[in-house]
Amino acid sequence: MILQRQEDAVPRKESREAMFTGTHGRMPWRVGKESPRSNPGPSGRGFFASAWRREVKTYLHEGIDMSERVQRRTGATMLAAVLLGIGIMAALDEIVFHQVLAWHHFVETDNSALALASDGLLHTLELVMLVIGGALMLRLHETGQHAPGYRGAGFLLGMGGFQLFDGIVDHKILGLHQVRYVDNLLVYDLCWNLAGLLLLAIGYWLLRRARRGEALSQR
Amino acid sequence: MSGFALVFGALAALYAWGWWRAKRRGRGWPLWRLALFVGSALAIVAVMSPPSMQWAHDDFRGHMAVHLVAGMIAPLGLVMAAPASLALKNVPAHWGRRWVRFVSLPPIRVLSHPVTAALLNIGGMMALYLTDLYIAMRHSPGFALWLHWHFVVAGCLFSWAIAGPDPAPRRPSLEWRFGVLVVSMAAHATLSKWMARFHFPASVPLDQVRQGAELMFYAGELPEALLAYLLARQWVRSRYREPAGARGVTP
Repeated sequence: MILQRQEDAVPRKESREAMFTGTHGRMPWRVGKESPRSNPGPSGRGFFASAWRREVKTYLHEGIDMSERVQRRTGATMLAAVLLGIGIMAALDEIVFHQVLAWHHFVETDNSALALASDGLLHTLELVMLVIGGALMLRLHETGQHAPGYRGAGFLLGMGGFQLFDGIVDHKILGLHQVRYVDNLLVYDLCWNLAGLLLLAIGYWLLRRARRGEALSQR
Repeated sequence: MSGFALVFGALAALYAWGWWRAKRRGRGWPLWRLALFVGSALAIVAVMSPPSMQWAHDDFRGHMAVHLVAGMIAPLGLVMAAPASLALKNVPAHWGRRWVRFVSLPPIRVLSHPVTAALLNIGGMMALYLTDLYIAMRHSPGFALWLHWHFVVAGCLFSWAIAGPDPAPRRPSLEWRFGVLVVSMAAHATLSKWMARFHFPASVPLDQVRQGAELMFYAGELPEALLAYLLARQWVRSRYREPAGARGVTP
């Protein structure tokens, strides 16, 4: 519907390949004048550059009309999803284990001032990650620049990564608190960290599918 | 504490007058901003009313609740209503240049720098709770009054320095503002944990300190998270533009 309206207004002569050569969608007098906004995509050999090119090839191969599509930002989508995953896992941890189950408390009696300060800093960083991830993801969806498949992958990788980090650094190295104050602590620690590994594994599987262009959700 | 009622009642009336005047002259100003400003001003008046102040004097949790509303939530609302922008809509254009000259003055720029604002905010709180100032405040009404004004003004200054929507040339960069915000959030969280663990202020029963500190920790991060969201929103809006073709096209 939108395409028809646009084609009525400006009959398009460019071939599908022209969409990616830098002239597509630009005013005639702007063609050939490079500006940072109109970059035709990354050209390096890095992970995100190759993911971008793979995506473009997919659209070319399947004949998806890119006139409606804008550059899908794989890296930014991944970043936003990882931040959201970390933030939500941290919030779940605080709500379920600290407040609902009350397995551990606001402050334990043997915390040192430094451990509490690091706890406060970690807590703040988690909250800020949640907020930035949310704002970024919202903006990517508003402008249609989110990349399919990378949201779920990044989200699960962020969740699993945080779970492992919490289980190893917070509980064991900093000693802020244990999972639960019982005798068979090892079982709880194992469950905690294995849950993190499981989330990471699923996230990695989703990431591989997304990189092959076989994301579960193509929207 | 009728000074608060007088000042914030007058400010709310002035804002409502400016809103009405802008609307009459065909330069609309959103209704939600009027509601935000008036609501925030009334919230300050309410928490500074005698019954609420009595509660704050008797109970540390009450003190924390008053501090939360008057020092964090209401200032955020006042600043996000963009009062200076509305004022500039209602005065002749050359006042805009005066405003820019005013906020460009070195003392004003130093005062409204995020670092200064954060120091006034968090530093003031650390001084109040970790030293004997809290007892001094309970025994001296004049100092208490000054301190409550400090809460409100420092809160407004901080919100304005971090994510204020009013025009100000040569604001510090987004990185600076984000960094200062994160540090002051961490300082706020740490201070509340220290208060609960090491029993500050010592003149208050430990139960009240624990509950007050938890209130400070959990409820205090809501306005901070809101401030972080507003700042992040400014950042992503400038970083990720609407694609040129998509503007004005509705599916």
